[in-house]
Amino acid sequence: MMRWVHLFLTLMVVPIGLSAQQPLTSVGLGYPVEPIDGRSAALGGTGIGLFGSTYSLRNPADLLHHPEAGFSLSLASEAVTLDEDQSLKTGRERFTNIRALVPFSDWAASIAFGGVFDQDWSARFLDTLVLADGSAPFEEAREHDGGISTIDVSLARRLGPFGIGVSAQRLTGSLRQSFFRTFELPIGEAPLLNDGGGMREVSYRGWRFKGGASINIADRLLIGGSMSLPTTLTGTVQDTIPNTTDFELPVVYEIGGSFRLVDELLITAATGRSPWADAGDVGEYTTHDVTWVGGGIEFGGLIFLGGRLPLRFGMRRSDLPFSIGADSIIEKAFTGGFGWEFQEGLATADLSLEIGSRGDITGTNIQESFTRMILTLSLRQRSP
Amino acid sequence: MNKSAGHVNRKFVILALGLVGLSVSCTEDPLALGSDTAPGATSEIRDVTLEVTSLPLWRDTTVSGFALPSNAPFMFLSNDSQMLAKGLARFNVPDTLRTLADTLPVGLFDSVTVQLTVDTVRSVFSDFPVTFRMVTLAESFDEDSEVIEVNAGIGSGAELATGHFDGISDTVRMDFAVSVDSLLKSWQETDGEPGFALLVEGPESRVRIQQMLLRYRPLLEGRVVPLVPKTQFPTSRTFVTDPPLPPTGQELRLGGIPSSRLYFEFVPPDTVAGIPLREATINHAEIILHPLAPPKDPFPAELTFAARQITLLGDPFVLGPKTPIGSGNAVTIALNPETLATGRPLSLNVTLLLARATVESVSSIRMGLRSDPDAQTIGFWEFGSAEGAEGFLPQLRIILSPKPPFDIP
Repeated sequence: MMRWVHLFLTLMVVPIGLSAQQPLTSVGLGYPVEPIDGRSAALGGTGIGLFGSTYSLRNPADLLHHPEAGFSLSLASEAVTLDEDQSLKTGRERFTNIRALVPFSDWAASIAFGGVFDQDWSARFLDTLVLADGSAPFEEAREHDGGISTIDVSLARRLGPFGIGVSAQRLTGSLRQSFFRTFELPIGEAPLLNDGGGMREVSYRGWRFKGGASINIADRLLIGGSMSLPTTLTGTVQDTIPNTTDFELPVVYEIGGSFRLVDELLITAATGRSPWADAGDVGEYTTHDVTWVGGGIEFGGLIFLGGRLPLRFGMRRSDLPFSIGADSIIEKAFTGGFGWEFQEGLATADLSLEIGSRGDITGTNIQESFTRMILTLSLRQRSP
Repeated sequence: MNKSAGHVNRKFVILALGLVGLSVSCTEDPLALGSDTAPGATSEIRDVTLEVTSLPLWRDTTVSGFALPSNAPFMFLSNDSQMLAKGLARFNVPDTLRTLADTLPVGLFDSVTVQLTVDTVRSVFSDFPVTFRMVTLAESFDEDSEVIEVNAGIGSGAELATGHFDGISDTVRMDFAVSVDSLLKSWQETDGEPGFALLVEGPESRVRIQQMLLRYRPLLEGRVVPLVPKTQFPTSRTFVTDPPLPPTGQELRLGGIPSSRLYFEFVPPDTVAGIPLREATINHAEIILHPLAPPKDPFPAELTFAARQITLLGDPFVLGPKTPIGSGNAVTIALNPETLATGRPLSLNVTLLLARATVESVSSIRMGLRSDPDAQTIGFWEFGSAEGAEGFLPQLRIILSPKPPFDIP
């Protein structure tokens, strides 16, 4: 039997960190990424039943509102401040969607790549290992790099004022988790310690199916709704002995619409619900039902250098599906932005700016304030 | 119209490709969080010290005889009360010498002296001046013999030369008291046999002679002008001590003359503190040797000496030829007698050996510790072995981090 002469360990934390703060991308399956474009984000994160077309992936039936083939890419950049005694700043960049679509006759089809969960985060800190014969300062780096995305194939059909659409979404992604500890020169008689660490990869796979419909009433009112079926996301650990974990993804209902008050003035609103609590907790994290609501107004009467310059404002509120404790995390934001159309709308840039906050440090142990910008660049093919 | 459409299509494709290229940038700036607040996997560091008797296998031994007095880099002389030491040497003076023109026998040896270079840094003198004496030997000596009687052949040998060392210069010139030409010609005839002894006399001293040179000015037969002075080293030399080095026992002995080395073989445990060693990061591993009380006078290592860890290419516990050794560590370990006397443990870093052994499933780890170079000191130091006294047993210290437990997601 082993005889332990002594066993000694103390980790002395250099107090540069916070007491309980975590980045949201580390909670549950990560931070949910809404696959919307810059215009939808500026209008309160709606993106469903929106006049003037949207590249968002909320409702496959909305494909029918694109008169020409087009391509878009939406890139989100977010500055985040973790609020507590001592503010910590970080930044995230992600693309919310890339979409190519083509209408033909009364049909429209698209293929898209959209975000689902962002799991990127990294943290570094300094500690000191205190040994019996001295101490060894070290730097530790913990990093999660990856997330879950979807490859979406959608098809829509116009039936008079109505439109219907379906989409099949392949959920895919990978996450590389790493941990590295780098020792500096020891203090006292402590030995020089070798660096160490490890890493692991998790891959995600799953399917999600969605159906949607819309109705256009006299080109004044557009209403749309969609529903995605519950499904299972499977995470597989890439190890010598692969093991898998299934995560239940709940049904998602979303409905929204827009109303043209006058030709240059549009109001829009949308809401959605997803009973995440029924899907069960994710590891040590609690899941909560998600309800989101948003709305905005767009004024399209401005012209700048020969191109339309629509201005947009809105606001939104959303529950987030994962939290550390019993209370859910709520995200609120004021939104705004503008678009600029070139070449009679053949190329468009839409920029949104969201200023908001998430969580409440006393209730959820997480509180972030954020400023997010989404830039969508889109191209349309000129009609023959 | 078609041309215009084509133009738009090209721009469309180029811009689309550019945007897709941009889309790969998805990053997160690192946060500076505390260890207890940062999410993600961590790994608690453990510092465990095991007594080697708890290991699946531990063997240790001392192997001596790697350097004899005859190939030590110095000749040791002593006349102090703890130890007597005398040098033995012989000069085989050449019969002929070659000049530019031809090779001729030596007709006359003139201006003969012996020059000693004293290692004043590593020598100990109680006072000055001390006297060095060269006396004849009655019997020949075998410099490769491990045991030479300290008075063997010296008897009441005739004095050949003397020199005085006053501590001002490192060099001592010994002048001959006999006919140098006759002496060197007799050495010519007998190839230096039987040799001579070199003694230190006067105030108690322990002297390291770094170099011994015979200098002479030969006059070749048929020539009228002597050649320029010639020098030569002893053809063989050694030294003898009284008392002789004690035999090794159960203790682990390092250093001394003849030089002693430590050899180890051990098998690390499969788990340490419940952590499978194979999966863990070995941050540090060391063998801790506990120095014993200083050896009985006059054999504690008299100077700080350097040692080096070596790899062993064979099983040192199999009887037979000496175990071949592999490369040594780049870093030497300094063993200071004063520090060793305080009982401060000696640490041998085996991190790399242990890490490689766990990864490559090596059945056992073999390593050694040698003084490098051998024969730096007359004395030695001893450490507790696995068969030794409680409290002085070798120990294996391992600082390790278990495999970080990553969770899904």
